[in-house]
Amino acid sequence: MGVKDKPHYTLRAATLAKWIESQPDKWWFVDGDALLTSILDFPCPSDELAPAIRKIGKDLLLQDKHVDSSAHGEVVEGDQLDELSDTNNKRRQKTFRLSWMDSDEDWLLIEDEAMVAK
Amino acid sequence: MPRPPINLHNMVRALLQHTSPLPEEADCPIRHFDRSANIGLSLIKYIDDHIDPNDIYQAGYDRHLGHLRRMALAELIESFERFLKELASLCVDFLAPYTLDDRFDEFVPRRSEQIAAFVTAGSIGRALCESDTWIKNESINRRFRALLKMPFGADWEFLFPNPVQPPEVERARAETLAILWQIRHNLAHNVGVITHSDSMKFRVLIKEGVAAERRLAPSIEDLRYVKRFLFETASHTNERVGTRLGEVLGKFHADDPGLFDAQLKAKEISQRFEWSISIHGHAGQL
Repeated sequence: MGVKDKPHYTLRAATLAKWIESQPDKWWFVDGDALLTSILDFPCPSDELAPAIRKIGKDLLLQDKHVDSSAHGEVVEGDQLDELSDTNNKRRQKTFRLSWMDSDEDWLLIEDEAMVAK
Repeated sequence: MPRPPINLHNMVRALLQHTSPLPEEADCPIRHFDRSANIGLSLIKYIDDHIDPNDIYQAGYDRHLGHLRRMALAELIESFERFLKELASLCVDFLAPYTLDDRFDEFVPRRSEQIAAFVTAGSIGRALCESDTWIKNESINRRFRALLKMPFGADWEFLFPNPVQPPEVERARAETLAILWQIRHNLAHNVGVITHSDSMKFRVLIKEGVAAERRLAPSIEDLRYVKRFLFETASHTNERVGTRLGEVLGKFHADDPGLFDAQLKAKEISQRFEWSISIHGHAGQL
C-alpha cells in the first residue's frame, strides 16, 4: 500500500525545502526516489537538497507515522515536521515516508551522516 | 530425517524464471545508473538503521555487514559498466539508420553464437553492445571512438585516456576508473581476496603498496566516495557522449537536411540522455 492509501498529509515542496534549509549542518539520504537520485548524489547536505526540492516544486504526500491517525491529505506546515518524523531507528535519525503527488512510488527521506573530507 | 530428493539441475534452471520487471528509468541510461547506484547504499543503510544493537551478536553482525559492503561495491561498479553499455546502445540505435561507414565494426559479433541476439534483442544497439564486457578503459575507448566518429572520418577522442592520450583534462578520472575496474575484477573473480597478482596491479595503478593475501574490506565511507565518483563520472560521460552524438547527427543532417527532422530528433535524444542536445542548431527540449 502506498502513502496515498494510508493516513497522510500534503507537504508543499517549498515547506519541505525551507525546513531542510533550517538545518544547514545536516546531511540527507533518499531511498527509492528515481527523481531526486537522478539529480543529486546521496547522501547530500541540506544546501544541495533544499534547492533541488524547491526546483522540482511538486507537492508531496507525507505518511503519518501514528497508526491511529485520521489524516487525510491536510496541508502541514514546517513546524509540524519534527513531530511527524519517524525516529524509531538506531541513531534516532529523522525519517519520512513520502511520495510525489503525481506518483505511486514511495520513498524515504532520511537523515544521514555527513561525508567528511579526507 | 533424510534429505528429500531434489533435482538440483532443475532448480538451477528454474532460477532463471524468477525475474522482476525493469524500472521505468531503464530506457534512460543516466537515470537507470543513478537508481542502480543507490541500491547498495540504501540496502546497507536500511539494515543498519533498523537493527537493534541489543538484539544481535556484534561480531556476526559486523561480519555480515562487511560482506554486504563488498557485494554493494561490486554492484556499484557493475552498474557503471551497464551504464556504458546502455549509452553505447543508444548511440548505435540513433546512428544505425544513417551509417554506411565502419563505425560498428568494433561491435560486430565475432562468433556466430551471438547472432541469436540480433533476432531477439529488440534493438540493434542492444544486440551489438549487451553481450560483451565493458570493464577496461582501452576497450571502452576503442568502441566509443569508433562509434562517435564523423561519417567516414577519424576516430573521436578518448573517453578515458591513458597518461599519454588526449584529452589531458580527462586523464585523472580515467586513472581512478581503471582502479575501480581492477577492484571489480578482484571482487568478481576472487571474492575480494587480494592475490599477489592483484597486489602488483594495484601497486602500479595507485603507486603505493597494497598488501597481498588479505581481503578487501570496504567501509561505508569507501562506498560513499566511490558512489560519488561514479555519479560524477556518469553524469560527465553522459554529457560528453550525448553532445558528441548530437554533433555527429548534425553532420548527417547538414549533408542531407531531408534525412530527418533535426528538431524532433534533438528532442528525442535529449529525453533519452536527460541532457539538452543540439543537432545542427536545433536544441532539444527536456
